Amino acid sequence: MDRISFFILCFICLASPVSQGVELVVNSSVPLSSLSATEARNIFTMRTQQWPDGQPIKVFVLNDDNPVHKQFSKENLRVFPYKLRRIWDRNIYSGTGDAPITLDSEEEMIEVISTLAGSIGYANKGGENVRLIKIQ
Amino acid sequence: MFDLLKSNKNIRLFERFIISLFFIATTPAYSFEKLDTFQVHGFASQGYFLSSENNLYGKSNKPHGALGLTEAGINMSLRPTNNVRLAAQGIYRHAGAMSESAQIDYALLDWTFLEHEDLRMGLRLGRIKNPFGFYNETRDVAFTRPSITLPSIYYERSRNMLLSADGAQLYANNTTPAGNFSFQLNVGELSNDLKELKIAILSFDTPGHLENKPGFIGKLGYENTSGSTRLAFSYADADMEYKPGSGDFLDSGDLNFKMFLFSAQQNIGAFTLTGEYLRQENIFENFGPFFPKATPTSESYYIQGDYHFNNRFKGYTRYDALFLNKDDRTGKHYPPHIPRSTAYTKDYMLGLQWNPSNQWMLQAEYHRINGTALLSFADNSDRFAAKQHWNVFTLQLSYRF
Repeated sequence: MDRISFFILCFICLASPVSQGVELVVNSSVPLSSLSATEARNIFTMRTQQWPDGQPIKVFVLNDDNPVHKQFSKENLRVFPYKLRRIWDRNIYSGTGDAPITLDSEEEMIEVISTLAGSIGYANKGGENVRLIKIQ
Repeated sequence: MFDLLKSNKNIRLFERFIISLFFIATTPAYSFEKLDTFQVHGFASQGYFLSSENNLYGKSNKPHGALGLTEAGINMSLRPTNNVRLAAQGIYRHAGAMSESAQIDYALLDWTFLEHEDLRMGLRLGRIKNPFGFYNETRDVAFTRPSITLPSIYYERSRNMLLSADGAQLYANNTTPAGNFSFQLNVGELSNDLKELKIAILSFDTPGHLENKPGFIGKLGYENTSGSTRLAFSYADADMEYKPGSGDFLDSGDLNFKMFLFSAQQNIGAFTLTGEYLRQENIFENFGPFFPKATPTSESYYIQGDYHFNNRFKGYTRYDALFLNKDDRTGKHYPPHIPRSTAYTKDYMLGLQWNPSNQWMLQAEYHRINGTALLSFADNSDRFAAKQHWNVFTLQLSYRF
């Protein structure tokens, strides 16, 4: 590889959008701008069930095998995906709680969250009627 | 054969529950926003047991083993309002020669009467699973168990005593900077069908039967903020009465069980270490001259290590021990008509679990066991034929949705 094409390649690599990681996505009705990792974990383990303004939290996730789900679970919530699954199983099979609703793709995630008040999920990108919020 | 068919009370309660669920779900006033809280889930699993001498879940000592444990269930839940939740589960279970039944596992109304910042309190009414240790509430669901069969703390014999309560549960959950604290207290009538328990206590079958009285079971739980440490203390207090049958040589006796269960779990990366210790104080009295008062204290505990190779594959190992009388761990003082090995069980286990998808799970385990305290009388009618040292190979395939 000659030197010029090497630099061109480097330039292309730098200019292309870098993967920013997964972020929380909420419906625009949700009155929050940030959550701590613990708060987010309490929401995704279905322990916290209402937003501070009293509206019910509706939680959406992707399939356990989805790379975005794995990344969100490990990096944002700092929990292994199999552990989340075990907590949801304990909820639904003991009758004491619910599991999040599983969606097929990030596109569907954005679409559902944009139409449903109080909903929360995660994705790599935003969209209309949804807000991205940071985990601090 | 089916408890459900025998018990009209159960059917009526369950039917009414299903009809009201259906009615709520189809009322036009409930928009998509309400309907989307409706969830249906289910599971099914089939266990295979091959043992060297003694029977575990069916005729497992025969050359081809036994498909001795079948479990299946379906549940639904709905939130008609923000702070009310309805949930019910029906299960079918076939466990060797001990039981075959279809039952309402739980059917409850859950009312959260306080939701204030980090504190949530509520009341559950109906048939409620008993919070006891890490696994009792979901003991029939393979996906929530740490192994194919639960350790001896949750043994089959006391299953019917611990399963669920018809009554009320008070619960509270408090999230603090130090972690999450939870509290559950069940008060009510515990389940019945206590034949195995009766024979274990009296050491022979009689024309009479055991009857439950209202009891309570409670659990205090703690989980640190990262969720890597879980601790729990559970307590159960149950009273029973022995009702003599016709021609019985026993008087109507009184039984009391007090159970203290300590549970701890620690995750370190992909490694999980779990241990539980149960101390059970028993009082058996007023049975008349043929069965003098006895107050044995039973003890059981286990320690299990799980290693997750990845999201789909896990290996695990466990040492599990049970002593029916902690002051006579080897059965040395047992009368001659009871084999000494029924006093204890020590079980070394190795297992593998594979989840090819979210829906499916396949497990395989090998147990080396010393002692026969866990053997059921229904599957092992001749107790003197039981071997002290035995081993079990077991497979289980499970599905959920």
